[in-house]
Amino acid sequence: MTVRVLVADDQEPFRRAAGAVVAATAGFTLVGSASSGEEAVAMASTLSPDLVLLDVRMPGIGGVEAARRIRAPLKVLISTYPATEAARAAGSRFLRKEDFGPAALRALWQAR
Amino acid sequence: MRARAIALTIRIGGLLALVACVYALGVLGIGRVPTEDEWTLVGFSAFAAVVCALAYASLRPRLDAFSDRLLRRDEASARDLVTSFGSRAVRGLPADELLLQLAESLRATLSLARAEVWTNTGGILERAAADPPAEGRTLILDGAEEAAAARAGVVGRTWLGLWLPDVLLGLPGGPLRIAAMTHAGELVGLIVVSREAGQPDLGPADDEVLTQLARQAALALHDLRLGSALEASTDELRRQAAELRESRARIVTAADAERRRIERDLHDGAQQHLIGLVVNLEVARELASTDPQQVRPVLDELSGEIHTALDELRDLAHGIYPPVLVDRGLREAIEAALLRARVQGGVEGDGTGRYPVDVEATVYFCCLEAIQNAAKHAGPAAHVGVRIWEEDTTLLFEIVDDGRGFESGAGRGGVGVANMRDRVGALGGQLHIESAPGHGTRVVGGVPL
Repeated sequence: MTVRVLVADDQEPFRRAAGAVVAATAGFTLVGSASSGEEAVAMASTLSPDLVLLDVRMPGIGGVEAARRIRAPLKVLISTYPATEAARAAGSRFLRKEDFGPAALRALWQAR
Repeated sequence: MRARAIALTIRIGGLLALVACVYALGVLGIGRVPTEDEWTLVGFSAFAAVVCALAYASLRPRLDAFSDRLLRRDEASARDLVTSFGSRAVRGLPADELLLQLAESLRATLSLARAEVWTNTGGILERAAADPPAEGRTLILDGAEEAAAARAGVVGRTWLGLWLPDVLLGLPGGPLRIAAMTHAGELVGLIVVSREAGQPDLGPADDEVLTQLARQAALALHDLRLGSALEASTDELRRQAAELRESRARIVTAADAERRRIERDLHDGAQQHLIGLVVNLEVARELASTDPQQVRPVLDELSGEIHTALDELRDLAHGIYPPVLVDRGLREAIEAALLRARVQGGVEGDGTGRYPVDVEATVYFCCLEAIQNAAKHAGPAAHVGVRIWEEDTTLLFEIVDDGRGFESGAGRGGVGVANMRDRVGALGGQLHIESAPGHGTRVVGGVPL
């Protein structure tokens, strides 16, 4: 089975890096990338991804609110900064952007 | 009503007691009690004495007033004039009103044809009030005339004809007096009074009244001037304090906004590239074991990311405090700013050198703001000339463009211009902006060294 991944971040460098991570990790495939919370919610409802990576700080509704609205087997909030209370309260997994990589991606999916 | 009845009772009781005392003294004096016939006379006299005493008590103030009017009319009203002027001055009437009232009362009290009050401000003698009313007149006094008038006291026509003949113009030809108003030896003004030809001369009593009034008027005028000077400086202080409060609030807001901008620039720029680097390193590590052929393109991308991150950090550092300003000073920093803003222009800075850090930063950021404004608004063909120079103990700067310009007072510039003013103001300097549509813009400022 291939895990279908959706990435949402307003920062283009990270979207690119996350895309490279997903492409380089066996068993995972990138199905879409969004640059805002609203876009992520819309894409998630049409693409039905298995795993959604959401940046906490994005223009508009942001990652925490988008994670509440999205239905997916695994939602992971990511941020440049340490986890905030709001991110913890959203009931999603949390990961610092700098800790993201093929190994972290596999570990997140296995621990879901 | 009750109080009056009590007072009347006491008065009559007192009188009766007095009559009884006089009677007792009379008995003691003649050494016997009066006879039956004498009793009738004594009773009648006592009654007459009581009636007279009561009548006199109520008539007395009127009799006094009548005798005053008859005997000391001029003296009394002159005294009134002096005291009433004093109380008016104390009540704090405006100067014009006070002087006009003075002229009017003088004319009425001393039976004058004309009364004028002149004020002196630094050798400019001005007719401030006159009765009958007359237009204001101004005379310029030289130092000798001013000094002579200050020493004059109360003098007559001869003195005036000699020292200030111009004051005589339009005055009646009769008796005339001038009273100098002085404070601490300085001439504050003149009181000029005159009667028609043929009217009685003004006497020593009139001179005395004039002397006293001149002294009081001088003091009142001096106080009024002091008061208005004080009020003006208080207003100025209040305005400066308000400006300072606003400026301080703007500086705090600007500093906060600047910190937010730096944080956002760091977050959106260099930080994201560094995170991309770390993540891509993980990708390279993964590929090294699964697909070594693909490692090289990832490493190329990593190298690109590192250079981008470095550029962004350099730009950011430059925005916070340009290294060239620290190393090379104002002139070269402004030249670099012109290059970065991509505008045509140049910097003239002959005779300038290095200055305290706050002065250099202020002048640099003001020039930078003006250059960036010119780059944004002046139009692509505009030429921007920057000049910095020293004059006395001030470092001046000027940014002139020949671009589109704008309507002065149209409020353009907003936060940027307010920042410039605040920066310059914080060092005790000043900034002016001139512009007109089609005639370019000139920003000129200076900070004390």
